[in-house]
Amino acid sequence: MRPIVHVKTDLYNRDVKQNTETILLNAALNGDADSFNRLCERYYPAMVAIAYSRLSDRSLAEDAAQEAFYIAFRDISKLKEPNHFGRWLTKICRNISSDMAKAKRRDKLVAIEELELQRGETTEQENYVEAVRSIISKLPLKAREVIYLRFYNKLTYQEISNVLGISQEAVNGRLRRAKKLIIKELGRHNSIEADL
Amino acid sequence: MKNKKDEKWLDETISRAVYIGEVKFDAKQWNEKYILNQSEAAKHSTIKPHKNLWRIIMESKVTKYSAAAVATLAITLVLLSPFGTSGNGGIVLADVQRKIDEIETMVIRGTKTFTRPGEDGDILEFCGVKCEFDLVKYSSIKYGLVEEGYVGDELVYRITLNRQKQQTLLVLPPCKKYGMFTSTDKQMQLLENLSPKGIINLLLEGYHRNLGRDDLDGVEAEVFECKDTEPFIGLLPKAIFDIQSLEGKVWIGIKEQLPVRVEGDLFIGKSLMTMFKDLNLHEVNTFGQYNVELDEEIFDIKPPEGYTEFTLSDILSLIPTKAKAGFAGLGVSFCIVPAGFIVWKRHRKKKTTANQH
Repeated sequence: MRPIVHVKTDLYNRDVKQNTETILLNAALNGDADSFNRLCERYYPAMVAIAYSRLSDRSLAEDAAQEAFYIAFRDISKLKEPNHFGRWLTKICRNISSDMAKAKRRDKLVAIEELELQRGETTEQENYVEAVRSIISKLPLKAREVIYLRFYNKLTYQEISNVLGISQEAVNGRLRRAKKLIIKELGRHNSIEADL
Repeated sequence: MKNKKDEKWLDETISRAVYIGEVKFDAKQWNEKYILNQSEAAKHSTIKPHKNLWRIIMESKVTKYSAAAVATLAITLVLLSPFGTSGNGGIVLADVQRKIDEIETMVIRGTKTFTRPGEDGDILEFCGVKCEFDLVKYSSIKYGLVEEGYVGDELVYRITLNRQKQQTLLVLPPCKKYGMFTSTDKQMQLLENLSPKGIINLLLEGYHRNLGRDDLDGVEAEVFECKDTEPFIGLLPKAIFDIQSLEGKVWIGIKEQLPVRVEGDLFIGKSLMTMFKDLNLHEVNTFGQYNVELDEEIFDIKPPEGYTEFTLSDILSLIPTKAKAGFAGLGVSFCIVPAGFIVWKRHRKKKTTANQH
């Protein structure tokens, strides 16, 4: 019986969360700035993660998330389906991050050099973390997004599904494929290290 | 992954790899950066600046002053449009917007008063005439917009923005003068903003505050306040019309779910439109006639018979040298020239002289 209770609680929590969001969104649509701020608080970490998956720079990612909120604030009346606020915001944030990434591209070499300097001496586990970080940065964009949302934001599949506008099964599939790629690349990394 | 232990290890490693530190949304900082700081917000705005407006006005066939006066009236109409509102509680913006969608025409009445800044706030006088107008406005989504300004029973100015022909006609009955020119893109944009959806979108970009219920002669309404000039930044260059602050109040009828009254207070900084003088503008609009039948002829831009087109010299001859110097960029103050007021005053002076003889 216990698992059933858990399921019910999860469903209840999800409903409450969704209802709260709907209330906040309706108030924001009616010009209530505080409600919009609360929505921003709710989505900020996820938007930073989405932006970071493209920019690999926390400061820029935060700027992108904040700009996304500004665009959303400005154009909120254009939001046709209030239930899709999360995915709408994600699209805005993706566009802004992509623009920023293009502008940043020319500084890429400098950034890599800085990263190299920051490394220094590390333990074995830290080596793995560094290797995984490097692998993640080379993953396809969609895989990177879902990895950040899951492992940085600790979002549930349902929450990721809301933010990305895809089904939970698709979230699961993307995560599985991303992890497989990481394992594969880690194996290659280890074999290279072993060869060395 | 061979087992759960490996999977757990991988998840932990990924979590560490993607950890970039805690991030927290700072509403205060965000508001300051993006909402209150207009220049930062404008940087990200998709609204393109209208760099050529000044040139358009200066090259207008009609005098630059009349063109600028038209621009002022147009902007005032936008600022005090009955469609600009939002709120919560008893009034739901979405409902108001739905209602507004059904409105094609309306008639607005009210007053427009120019005052000097200061404790006394005395009404501005130009050549002995108080700048306090009674207004009647006719608005049609299809045809355009007309504003009539009266002093007493006398019609002082009539301005017609014809949407279909993209022409603007300024008529000054006291002196039987008129000016007509092609509406600039900016003016037409202002007219577009007068559409219900346009103005709601425009005002939704700013913050609103619900001031609660009010009773307007038996009409129960909810009052909303807007103090944000951001949506209006960039509508006109600061050199022409420098809106430094704006306080607007909108009364939305609970039963009607439509705006029933709008009050606006603008503080306009030294700019061309104020002859390089700080100035206050207070306007009150009341609404009661929605979807009334408005004849297309009301929006006709054919100059009335017996009227002649006014020229730059009509106006310049009446402006003191100091003010002209102000235009040249010397920043010398003078006083405001409401639409057609100078020409009207000239006409009155002539009349007085004739009577004395």
